[in-house]
Amino acid sequence: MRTRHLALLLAAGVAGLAAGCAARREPVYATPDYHSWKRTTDVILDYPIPGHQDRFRIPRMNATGFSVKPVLENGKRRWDFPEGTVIVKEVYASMHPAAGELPVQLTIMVKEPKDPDSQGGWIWLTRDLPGGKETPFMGNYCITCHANANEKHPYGDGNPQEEFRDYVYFVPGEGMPATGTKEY
Amino acid sequence: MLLPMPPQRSRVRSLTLKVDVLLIAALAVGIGAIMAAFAVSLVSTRDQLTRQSLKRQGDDHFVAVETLMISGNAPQAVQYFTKVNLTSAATTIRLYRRDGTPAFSDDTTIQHVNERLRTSKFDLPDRPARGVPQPPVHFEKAVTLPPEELFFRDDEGVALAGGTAYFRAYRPLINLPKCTVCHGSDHTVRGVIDIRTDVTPAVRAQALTIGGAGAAFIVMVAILALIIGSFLRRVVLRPVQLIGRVCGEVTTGNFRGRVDVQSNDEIGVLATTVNTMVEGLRERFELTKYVSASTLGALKESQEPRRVTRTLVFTDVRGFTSYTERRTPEQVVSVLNRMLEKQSAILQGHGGDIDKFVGDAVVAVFSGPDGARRACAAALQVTRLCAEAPADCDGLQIGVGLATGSVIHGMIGSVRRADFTVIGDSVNIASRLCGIARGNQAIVTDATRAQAGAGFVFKGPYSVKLKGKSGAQRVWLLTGRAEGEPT
Repeated sequence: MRTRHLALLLAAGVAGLAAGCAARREPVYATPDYHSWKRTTDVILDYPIPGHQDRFRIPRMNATGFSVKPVLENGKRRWDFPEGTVIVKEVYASMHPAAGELPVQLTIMVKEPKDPDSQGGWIWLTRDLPGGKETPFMGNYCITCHANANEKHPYGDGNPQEEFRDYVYFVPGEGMPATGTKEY
Repeated sequence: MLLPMPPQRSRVRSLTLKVDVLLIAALAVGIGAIMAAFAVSLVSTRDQLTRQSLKRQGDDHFVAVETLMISGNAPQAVQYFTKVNLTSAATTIRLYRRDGTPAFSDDTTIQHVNERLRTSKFDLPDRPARGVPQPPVHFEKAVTLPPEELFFRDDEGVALAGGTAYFRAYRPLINLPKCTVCHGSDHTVRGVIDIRTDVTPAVRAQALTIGGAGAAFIVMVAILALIIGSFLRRVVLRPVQLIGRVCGEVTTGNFRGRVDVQSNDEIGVLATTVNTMVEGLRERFELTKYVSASTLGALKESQEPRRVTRTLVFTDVRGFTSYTERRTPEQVVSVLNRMLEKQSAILQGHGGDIDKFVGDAVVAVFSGPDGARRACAAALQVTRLCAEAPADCDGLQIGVGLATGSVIHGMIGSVRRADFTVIGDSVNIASRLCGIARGNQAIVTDATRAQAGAGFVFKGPYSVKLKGKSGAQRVWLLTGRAEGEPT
């Protein structure tokens, strides 16, 4: 009888541990339906940029992100994306992928200011395909580059007014024709 | 009285040695763990602080380079680095291009920018192109994607032996989108800021602290081991050794030893208990001299009375009462004890059990299939005792009566005082036969003669009327050994 109780206790412990492990499973931000999310810009990103080099890119954003509204602050617009915004940038193997070719990597921005790993209010992740594991970038590699989105830069409309655009180069409605890089 | 031999032990290991080893090991591990944690924490904290400081410096220098270079002020950037290096003798800052060559060392970058902008926006200082130097150590990790900030020790020699200890940090310079206008978009890392800080004094001070702490650790372990070991030896080990010694002496028949422990703790209680136990054992050992072997056997086994066949031997000194009137008590006791001692030796030597001494009489019981034979042999020897050594008996003689038959063997008496003895008709007959035996005579019953076998010579039979018996008894006079039998 005593052995049976011990076995039951052990089984309960194992089950609890398994449940605990299951509960701690990391969330997946680039959900399977991300393909249906709208692109953040009409610009064809077929020009090289630091960080992604000569690789074609398609950025998409979930509906939460598209609900962002700029506010006026000291005469300038300021963009603060709502929490829960997810931007997934598909990165392809080459600058001119074939029709139907799948991306080789996803880079992901998630607006989660309360997350201790967030930088600038965003969690910066990468997802290798087809493995599917999303790994956060712990350094400042991503944000260093994306901080330039809040200043004048050579992409899209170039942010001529140096609005705070929450580290996002292409904010909704500010897309530029697909002309590649721009000098200023 | 034979005492049991103590159990043989193949090898006795010293408890003191075990305690000392355990003590030193526990102290070394316990305090050593604390010391190790202290040392690790010290080094880790220093590393952490230095890393944070270097990271902060790297970020500051990155902002400075970014700010100066965006406006195309490379000469100011050069001046900036020169001044920064001058302000701190302990810290050296260098800027490398992504190929590992020192920045601003030649006109390569200016030429590249002018070509890209298709202008001559930046003047060429006309510096000769230098050969490509060897990239700094670990440089590749800082320029491959994703670029990493590196933090590592880069010592020159051993700091404690006159060398220099450096902490070194690489802060990659990212080719920001705004930089791409001049420098192009074909690369992610523009270069690396290299910050090297001389931490030799800190490392030496730390080594001194850890070394001092290590020495203190050894001294502390030694002192604590000495104090605690001494305490344990005095309070636990010595009393245990004393108790062991006294117990060892008891196993060899020495009951005089006592444990001399005065403490009032559990050890003291144990010592008192052992002393009480040894005293009890001593008393019981002494008592065994006054108790028959059968009584001792009954104490070990069962005390239930049982009916058994035994040969009873009664001996008595003839004319002892009148003898006592002519001698002093000391003389009487001396002669009597000598005679009783010799009789006891004879009776016990033939396997008899001395049941009791009653004045000058001895009662012995012989058991076993050859009990009657051994009883007769003993009786013969007793009857010859005074004839062969008259001086020992001071002229006295001993009469002996023997009877064999069924008796009750058991504890007889009250709960406060009892004897483990025999009762029955054979006891009475043996006593009566002893009473009628003359000096140096042994009278046996028909049953005793029959069971004694052919090894003896009997004279008789005689018919005697015994007190308390209705009919006449057929008895025999035991006169000697049969021819060929040992005398």
